Amino acid sequence: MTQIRVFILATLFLFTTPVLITADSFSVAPAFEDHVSGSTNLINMQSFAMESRLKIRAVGGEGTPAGVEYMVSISPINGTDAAIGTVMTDFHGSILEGRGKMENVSAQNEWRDRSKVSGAIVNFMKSFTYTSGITL
Amino acid sequence: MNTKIPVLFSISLMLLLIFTASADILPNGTNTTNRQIPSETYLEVIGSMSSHQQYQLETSSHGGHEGGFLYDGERVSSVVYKSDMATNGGYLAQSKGLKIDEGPQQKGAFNVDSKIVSTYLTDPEIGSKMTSSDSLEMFNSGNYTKVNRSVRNPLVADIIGEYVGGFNSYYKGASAVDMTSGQIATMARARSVGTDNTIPAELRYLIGIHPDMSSGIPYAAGTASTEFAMTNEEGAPANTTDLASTKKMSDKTTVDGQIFTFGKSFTVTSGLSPT
Repeated sequence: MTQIRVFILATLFLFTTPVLITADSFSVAPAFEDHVSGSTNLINMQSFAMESRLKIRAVGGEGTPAGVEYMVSISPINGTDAAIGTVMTDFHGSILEGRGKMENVSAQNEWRDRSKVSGAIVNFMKSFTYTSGITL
Repeated sequence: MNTKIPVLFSISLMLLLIFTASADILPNGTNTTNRQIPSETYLEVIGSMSSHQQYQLETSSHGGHEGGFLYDGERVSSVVYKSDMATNGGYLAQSKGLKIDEGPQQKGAFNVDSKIVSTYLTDPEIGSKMTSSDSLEMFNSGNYTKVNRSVRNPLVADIIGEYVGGFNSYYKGASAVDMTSGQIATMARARSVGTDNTIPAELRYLIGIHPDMSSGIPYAAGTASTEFAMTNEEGAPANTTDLASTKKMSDKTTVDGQIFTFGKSFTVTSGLSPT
């Protein structure tokens, strides 16, 4: 049988943008650094329907927060009961932030989410949203 | 055919533990970007599955702190959340939501908010099973300060009327489950960053195990254990960092067999609030 192999990798880097600095409530902008990444791998899938959606906002007007939205969904094709194969996802992020005029780290924020599913997949959906929540 | 277990466990536990630690002053938000990171997973599979999720948030009230002693009036907080699950076969349906918000929180809001519901079913004679573990830990610490005979926020100085002593607090809620059939629901929430010095630290953990009624088996089969812990050390309000009060609490439970109902919940709140 034909084997379908799909590999999708989305790596997103967000660094300091002038917009975020001007949006900060401090008169002096504290230092910060972000790194966010997400990836999905499909291995030896026999029949499946896949939908993935990726939105990134890295440049915006004043006060517009930076943001990433990522969604992946695997489901059986019409007429079959399940998608057969293996799906792996990996979301990772690391954020360092300063405070006031300080350059050293005042907040450290790190997460990782890895999942692997193998077999008859009736439904598999993961979504991940990342927004700068700064309010003026 | 299911193996008949001669020992029948029927356990119904509901614990609500509310401990009041007298003063955890949380660091305020850095107001740099205050990231918000919600994520969701919906899954239904017959086969194997593994997932690992980890989140850590460290916040310091005085940017520039680099280990060693805390500065006058400095507060630090650390939250670590871990969630792992694996199956080697069988049917699994799961709904998982994790909301992360590193910004400053009001009362009733949380920096980490996780809810997971998993339903699992297999034939135990085949040898497949599900294992899951989940833990939420928080550590808060703060140094006293003599500046203006108060902590940094004048609002708290009005409430307390004196400067506050140093403190160290540790809170933990965790569970581990092995099962061949049943439904597990867990909820883990923590607040480690406050909008101002009057917002209390809080950690909530809840687990419930029930039979999966759609399977026709009237019990959940497997092993479940929980661990809740709290320790708190404080200096007296007018007594710098000398240790004036120590509180410790720990609760561990394990159940094994045919589980008809199992529920435990744990709430710990720092009581630094006039209301």
